[in-house]
Amino acid sequence: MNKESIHSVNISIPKIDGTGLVLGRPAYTEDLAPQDALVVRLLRSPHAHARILSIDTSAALQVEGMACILTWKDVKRIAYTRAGQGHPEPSPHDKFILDEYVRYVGDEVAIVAGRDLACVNRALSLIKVEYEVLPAVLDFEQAVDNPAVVHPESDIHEMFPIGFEPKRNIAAAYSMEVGNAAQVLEDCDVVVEGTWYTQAQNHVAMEAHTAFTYLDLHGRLNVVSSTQNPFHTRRLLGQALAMPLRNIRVQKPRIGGGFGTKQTIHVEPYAALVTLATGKPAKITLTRKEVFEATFTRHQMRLKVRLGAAKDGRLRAIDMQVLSNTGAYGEHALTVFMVGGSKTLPLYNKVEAVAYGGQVVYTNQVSAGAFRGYGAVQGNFALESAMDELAHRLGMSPIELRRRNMIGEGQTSEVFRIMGEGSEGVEMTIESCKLEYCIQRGKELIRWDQEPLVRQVAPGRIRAKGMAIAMQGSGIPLIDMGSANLELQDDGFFKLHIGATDLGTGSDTILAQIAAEELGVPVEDIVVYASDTDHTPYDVGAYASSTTYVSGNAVLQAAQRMKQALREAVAETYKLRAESVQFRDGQFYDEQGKVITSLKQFSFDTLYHNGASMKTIATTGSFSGEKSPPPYMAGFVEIELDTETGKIDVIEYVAVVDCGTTINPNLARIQVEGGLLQGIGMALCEDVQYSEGGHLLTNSLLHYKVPGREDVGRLTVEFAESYEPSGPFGAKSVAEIGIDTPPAAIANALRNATGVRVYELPLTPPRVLKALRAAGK
Amino acid sequence: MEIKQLVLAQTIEEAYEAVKERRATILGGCTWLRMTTKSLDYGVDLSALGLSYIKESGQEIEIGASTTLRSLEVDGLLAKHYGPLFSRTLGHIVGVQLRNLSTLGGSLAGRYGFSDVSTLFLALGAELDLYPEGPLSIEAYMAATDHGPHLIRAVRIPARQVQASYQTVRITHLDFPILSVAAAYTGGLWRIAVGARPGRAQLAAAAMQILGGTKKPEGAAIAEAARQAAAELSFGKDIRADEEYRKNVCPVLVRRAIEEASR
Amino acid sequence: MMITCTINNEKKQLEIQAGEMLAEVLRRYGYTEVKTGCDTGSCGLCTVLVDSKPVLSCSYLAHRAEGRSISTVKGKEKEAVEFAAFLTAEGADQCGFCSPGFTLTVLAMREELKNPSDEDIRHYLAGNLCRCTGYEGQMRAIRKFLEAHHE
Repeated sequence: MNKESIHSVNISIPKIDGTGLVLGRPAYTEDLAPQDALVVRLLRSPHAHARILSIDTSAALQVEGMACILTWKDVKRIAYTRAGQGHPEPSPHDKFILDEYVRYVGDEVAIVAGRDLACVNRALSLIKVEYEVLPAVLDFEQAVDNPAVVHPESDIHEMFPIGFEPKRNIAAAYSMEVGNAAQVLEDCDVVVEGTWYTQAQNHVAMEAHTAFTYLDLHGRLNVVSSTQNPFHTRRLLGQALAMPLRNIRVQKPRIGGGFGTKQTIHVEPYAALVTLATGKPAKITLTRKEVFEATFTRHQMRLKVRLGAAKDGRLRAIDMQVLSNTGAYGEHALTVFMVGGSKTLPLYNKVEAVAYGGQVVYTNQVSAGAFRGYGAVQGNFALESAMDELAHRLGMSPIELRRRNMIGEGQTSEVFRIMGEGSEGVEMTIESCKLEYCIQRGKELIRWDQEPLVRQVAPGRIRAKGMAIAMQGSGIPLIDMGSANLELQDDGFFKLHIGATDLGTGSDTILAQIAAEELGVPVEDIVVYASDTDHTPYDVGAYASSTTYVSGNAVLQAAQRMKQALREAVAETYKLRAESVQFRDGQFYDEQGKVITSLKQFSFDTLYHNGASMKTIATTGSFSGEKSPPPYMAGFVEIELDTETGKIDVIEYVAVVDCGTTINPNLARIQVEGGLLQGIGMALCEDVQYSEGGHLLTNSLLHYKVPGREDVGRLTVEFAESYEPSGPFGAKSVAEIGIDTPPAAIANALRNATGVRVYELPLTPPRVLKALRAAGK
Repeated sequence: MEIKQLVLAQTIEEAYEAVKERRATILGGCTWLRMTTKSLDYGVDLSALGLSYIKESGQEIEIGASTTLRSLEVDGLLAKHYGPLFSRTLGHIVGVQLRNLSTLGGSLAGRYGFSDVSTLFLALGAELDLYPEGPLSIEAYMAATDHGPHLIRAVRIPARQVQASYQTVRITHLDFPILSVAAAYTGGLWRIAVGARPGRAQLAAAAMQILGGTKKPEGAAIAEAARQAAAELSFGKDIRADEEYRKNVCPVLVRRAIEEASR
Repeated sequence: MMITCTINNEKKQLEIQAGEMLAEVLRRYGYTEVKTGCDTGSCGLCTVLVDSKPVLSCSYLAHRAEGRSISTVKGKEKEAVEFAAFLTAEGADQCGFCSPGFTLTVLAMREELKNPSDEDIRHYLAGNLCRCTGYEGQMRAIRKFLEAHHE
């Protein structure tokens, strides 16, 4: 591609909203809530599984300032899903806003609203609930056909066949096979087998879940929420509240991080019910404890992998069988499960046979949902660990093994066709893949060949390197759709209205860059308004790494159409043929190259001066991908292991990423760096733990540890020169890929350091030391 | 947190009175208290008592109980006698913003298992100046859970070059320690304290005996002391680690602490 | 009870309850730039300066603010805007929720530490969590900010 013609894309411009946010200008949901909004909190179940026999709210309602208390008897019983996904949702409709049964510690029991937090908290302590405690399923490996059933009720359903067998505690099930994996494995020279475990993980977005609701002067329900998906929120709320969508408006202001935890509706229904019951504005903000106990985690998984290869290193078969724990409700159950295979297996597309299958089970634990990586990071941990084991068995360099078997440009994988998200996938030929470069460059940066792979740096301290490769996707093909409206304004600037959802990621900015680039105008001439179901066109929202590719292509289309519309409008005004009018650099030219008028002048003319032919010049672009071109990366880590305590320190992490064109290189880099830290957290220190009774023990930042500033050494992130023809200006996506490699790379480094492989995350000092001692190290 | 009655004590007698007669809770830094307490009937604030100081007093350094951990961390007098010991030990505690609030007295009075401060001061052989009782060794203070109504007025540690080392294992840099060990050669004798067992810090007396008064013990003696420390103390399980891990890691940290302190 | 203190260079009289923490009081009085992110003093979002020292306002008893000078990020607007330019130039101003508390801590660090190394910087700022950026972008911004101030 011609680099010289680009002047808004591949440029690191500062985010539009930067300075205001740093100064703490009121821009977040809680900042914007009306002063007189009722404060809403939830009474939550202390039991992992119970039936509510009675709720006595009489004393609580006496507290001065109380407005209302709603229990399951006050709410229309409608089964819905909270999962922010397209329609029909691949997640079962197994949730009721309030129910007679509670299915995990933290499940909602009553909605309490009052004038201020003090009276609400007082009221909460006065509500008397009688429970019949029921047996609970607290081990996902014991869930299937457990006598305790999490969802015995008959009025829940799947939206289309997903293998939903709730009476067996199965939320979803899936299997696929290309060729005959068992047969091929039997024939292989070397077979590696193992069972890997990944833990539930918490997102820890800095801003807790929050929303406020009010009725506007037309009596419509207005919802302002810290959400990743305003349009899904509107639709799901409409379902759950049995309200026509035309009577609901959802807006997302600035939000304090998502990472998937806000790809859902969480708090909106409770505030909405209070507003509908009282006519008053209502606001709800979860405490950090509630965010841990009663929002989502990553799906915990057990992954059984068998790899078979010829002794020359040719990978011949992969079999991956997975058990996934979706917790008390089935949000994202099937889709995360599928991504565990669909965004890992195609890395090794030359196998003769590949099989993927398993079940997603209910337990009486915190519900699992969407979290950056979305199954791919779990699958990657297992697959890339197994690949390294295979390399050891073959006596081959792990890098060589990847090179010999990994996917390349111009190639495809059957898995693309077979595995979508929730249903069949889409055939796809890979048009951009720089894995070869990523590996080569990553190798150099970590000095893989220049230094010994393993070396002792002090008594009991070993440094070692490890690596892994990964892929992700760019939106869900034929399911994710984004739109953009562009409108010319007087003074020669454009309104860009997008449904796309900026989580702080900078998508407003990069979408403006794409529009500016296509129109050939400065980015300052694009004014963005986003994420408001009343005023912006539809967009699925921020998930599945869709914004740059899907929403970006929609913006590109709107801008292309705008150029055409501008030329036609100028042609009409000046009585020329549209084909003869050219538009560039903010001016219109005739066939001879003479200036006809400027964009700025024309923007006034079309609104004020052109008499009967005055008009608004506006265009719409919509895009749904026919493919989901994967970003790729190679991750290399150097760890230092304290062999006497089992403590692993990350000395350096190198990530070389192919995300196609980086629309904004700075923002792309930060996405990778942020993802790396979360992946390192999953690898080393983040651990969701429960008591025997199913209470979440890690329900505060005191006990749930995310990597801090001093926990990780040097991060080196680079991008490959790559161009995806189907992407806006060659871009793919970069939001999730950064998180995928650290667990496997670090486990592989540990294996290189000691000969010991640990199969379970996180690799905390106790777990590592135990494994080392068991192996006699 | 709700404090039904707040007393801003102007004298230590007033503060003691509130604690004794009204069972008032002492408000130190309050960083732990406010997490664990919803409501207090009586809270007594010691801010006006002038207990925030670090001074040399004869052979000792006296530290007022209201001195913040941050002050200890950056203090020149402490650095002069103890080197980077205080900054290294306290630097693991949550962050500068918290250490600007948490006090020495509060950290010691809590006798928390996770307290780096307790483990360190136990090894240094600190003497607590209690009101009204007067001086009490830190090990005596830590051994009992209930001293009746009292205040910690100040803490004294030796003002001389003390060889000491603090070692921990943590899952992340700012996490509570899985195990904490402090070793100090002070006043001609070794002191070894082990905390976060997960229980509160204790002296490994038998291990200390093995080292006795030898300023630079031999490797064999160090190894023996380390083994003994793990054998004589009890360990337990919490969400961070099980008993076996702590037992395995104790001799490692004790050995490292003694080695560093005797360098 | 009433207390008198200075907030962002303005003398203020605040009505507070005994036992209330400074963060709640400040937010109630409209200083919504003071964020809260956890219940356990672990995240640093609520950082304010009290007599120039960075403290967790969620753990600071409001009555102790009597007679003291408090700064939220708005009270240091000039320096904050200057620092914001470096942050936004790196793209490290992601969701922005940690930014006000983080910015104040950076400004306090600049006053307290002369010529800090990378290790010193990470250590001083360790109590300010960020989940978006992975910390590296913030480090790049801080180094450039300190260098510029040096000149």
